[in-house]
Amino acid sequence: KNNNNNRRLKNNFMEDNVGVYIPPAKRRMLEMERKLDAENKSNDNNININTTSSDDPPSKSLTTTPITVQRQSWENLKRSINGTINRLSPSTIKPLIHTLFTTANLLRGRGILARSLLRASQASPQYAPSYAALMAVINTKLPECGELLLTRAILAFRRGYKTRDRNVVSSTLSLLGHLFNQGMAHELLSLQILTVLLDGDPTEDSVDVAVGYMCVVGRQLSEVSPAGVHAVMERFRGLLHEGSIGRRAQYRIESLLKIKKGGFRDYPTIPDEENLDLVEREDQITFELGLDDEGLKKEEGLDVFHYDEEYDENEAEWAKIRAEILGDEDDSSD
Amino acid sequence: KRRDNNNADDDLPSNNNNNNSDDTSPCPTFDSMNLKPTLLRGIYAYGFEKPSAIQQRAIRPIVCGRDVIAQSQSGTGKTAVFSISSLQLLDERSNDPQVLILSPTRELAEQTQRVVSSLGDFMNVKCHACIGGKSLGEDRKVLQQGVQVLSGTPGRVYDLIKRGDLTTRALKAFIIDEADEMLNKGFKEQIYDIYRYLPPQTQVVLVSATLPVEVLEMTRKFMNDPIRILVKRDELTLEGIKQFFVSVEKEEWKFDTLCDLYDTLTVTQAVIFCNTKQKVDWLATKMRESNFTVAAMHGDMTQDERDKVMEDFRSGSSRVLIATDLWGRGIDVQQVSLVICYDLPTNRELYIHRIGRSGRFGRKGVAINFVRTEDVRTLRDIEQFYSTQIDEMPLNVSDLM
Repeated sequence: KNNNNNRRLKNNFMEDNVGVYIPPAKRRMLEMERKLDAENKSNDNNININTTSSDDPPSKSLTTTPITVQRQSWENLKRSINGTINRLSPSTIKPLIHTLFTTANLLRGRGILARSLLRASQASPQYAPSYAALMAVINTKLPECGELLLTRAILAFRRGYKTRDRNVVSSTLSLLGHLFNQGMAHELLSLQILTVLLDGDPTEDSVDVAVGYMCVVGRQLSEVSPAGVHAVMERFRGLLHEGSIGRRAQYRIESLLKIKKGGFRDYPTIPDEENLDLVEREDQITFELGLDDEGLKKEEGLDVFHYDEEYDENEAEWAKIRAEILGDEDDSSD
Repeated sequence: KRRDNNNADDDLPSNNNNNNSDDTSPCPTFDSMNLKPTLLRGIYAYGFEKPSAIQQRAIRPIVCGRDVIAQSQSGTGKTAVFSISSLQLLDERSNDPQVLILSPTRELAEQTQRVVSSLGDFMNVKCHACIGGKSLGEDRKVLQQGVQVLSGTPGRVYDLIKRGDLTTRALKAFIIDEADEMLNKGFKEQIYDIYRYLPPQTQVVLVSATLPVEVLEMTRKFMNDPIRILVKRDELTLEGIKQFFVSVEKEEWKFDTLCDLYDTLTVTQAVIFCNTKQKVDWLATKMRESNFTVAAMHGDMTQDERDKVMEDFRSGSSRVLIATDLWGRGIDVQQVSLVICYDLPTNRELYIHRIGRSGRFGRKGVAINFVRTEDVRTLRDIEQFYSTQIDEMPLNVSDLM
């Protein structure tokens, strides 16, 4: 019998995990029904007070226990962050950042934020400049958010490189490149990445990705580390002369040499400057994280809901920080 | 009757030089197709890496001068098949029109022109789009200055031929894109009219998703011992695309559901299909109010408006494209990973044209269909017709994208 029970539990658990999506209107209807149900039940309980047993939960407060309140606010936090990132584009970034600070506790939600941004840049690297610009603004106020995103991006690159997943590598690199361009990542990281990609006997994909990365960071990297850029370009030239790489890679290197010669003219550090260059360089916080750093932690625990014993205190703390941030914003826009 | 224009500036060893034009065994790489080095450079610069199934099979026979019927669904890289072939066939030293490409819609004609120009970036190629809705005077001016590849819609092209602005005497290849769609739109007479002006030895390439009787008739009248290359439907369009439905039950629940999806999933760029242009406009307004950057497109728009919409979407400045089925065929937007059928299509053929988009070149994609209670039957019908699986959307759909 016990066995049977276990199986049923397991089944329920499985169903929960792969449950179907229910549209919001229906969800609300179901919730209403459940509330009514609960009320009826609690009425019953009031009448037959003696029958209350331990497996009958205190259904009266079903919707208002601290844990349900916190869970609900966590869901809202997720939606607010996700919805913002899905809407982000150069023309909407300013109003969206403001709304995000107003509606979301980004300190609590930094795991969601990092995860969502990393995912979004992997799904469509072309928005990497917007994602990096968003983080650039947040990072000046909440450096723990920027550091987490950068850390996870580095780890994603390492993993993608190890498993030879080219899509992950190249999309993660466009995010890392723009984080560097926005002043959040140190130039050493970029040089380490290029070294890893081009050392030894690189594959066609490796060369391809390295060329793409140079196009993103080339301009800025030439300013802060001309010697580093020189070394990287020498390596590219060497590969070209060795002649052991495929024609496609050859063409890519040749075009990069031309682009470099033209000073990366068509590859601005921050594209769409008017909308995406939102932070003064001296206000930005740069993290000196390296590719091989051993202490990098993904902190995945931040991505899932946890009951917070000091919820009210933490929310009050956030309210203060938020007031400062939004006050700052108003000041600077005056 | 012979066209001896293949592989003139070839610099590859002769054992690679397979001139047997009946050989339709696939070429696994672009490198092995014996293309002009400048063209190959353009192909790689465009971002292509490996040829798709139809590209592996169809480019070589076309380049060898054979008449070819390339039959495959949208999303398989047909545009590049005839764009690459056109550029290879071209004699760059001559300024005469040498390749004529017909398309059923203005967007397609312009898209083809763009693809040819990009692929020919390292060549000395002049390609122009002749389409209705644009200035005739401009077309004539461009033609006078010399154009080698013309991409156009039948009406405008015939007009230019009749007026003598477009000389056909140096034409080597005549390419009809989306031939079945062309006949649906009643372009038959115009295509026959244009064909009559072509030199007798013109090579004909026909591209089509299906081969209905009218297309077969066309191949018999126009083509000389054509090679038919067929890439099967199933392996093309729905492969790698996860299809789901959401049971929204009522029309009024749809918008709410759409916003909810955007708050819970990771959506980068999406195409949303509606069945009417009124719905498109309405939805676009609603979404803009909710801070989305939206592009909307339907048949009532002028050419310039449509151009701008496509450009906005392609460049990424709008993340959502809302469209009627006008858009559903052959327009190439590679980055789209999510297609939402806000309305279920009115017939099952449209379904594959809407969804097929997201599976281009093996990219994975997700399709989500909004289904009202009364649509359930239509959905099952689609499912059965394509012998595919459309599951109810799971909560963890984000993990699948």
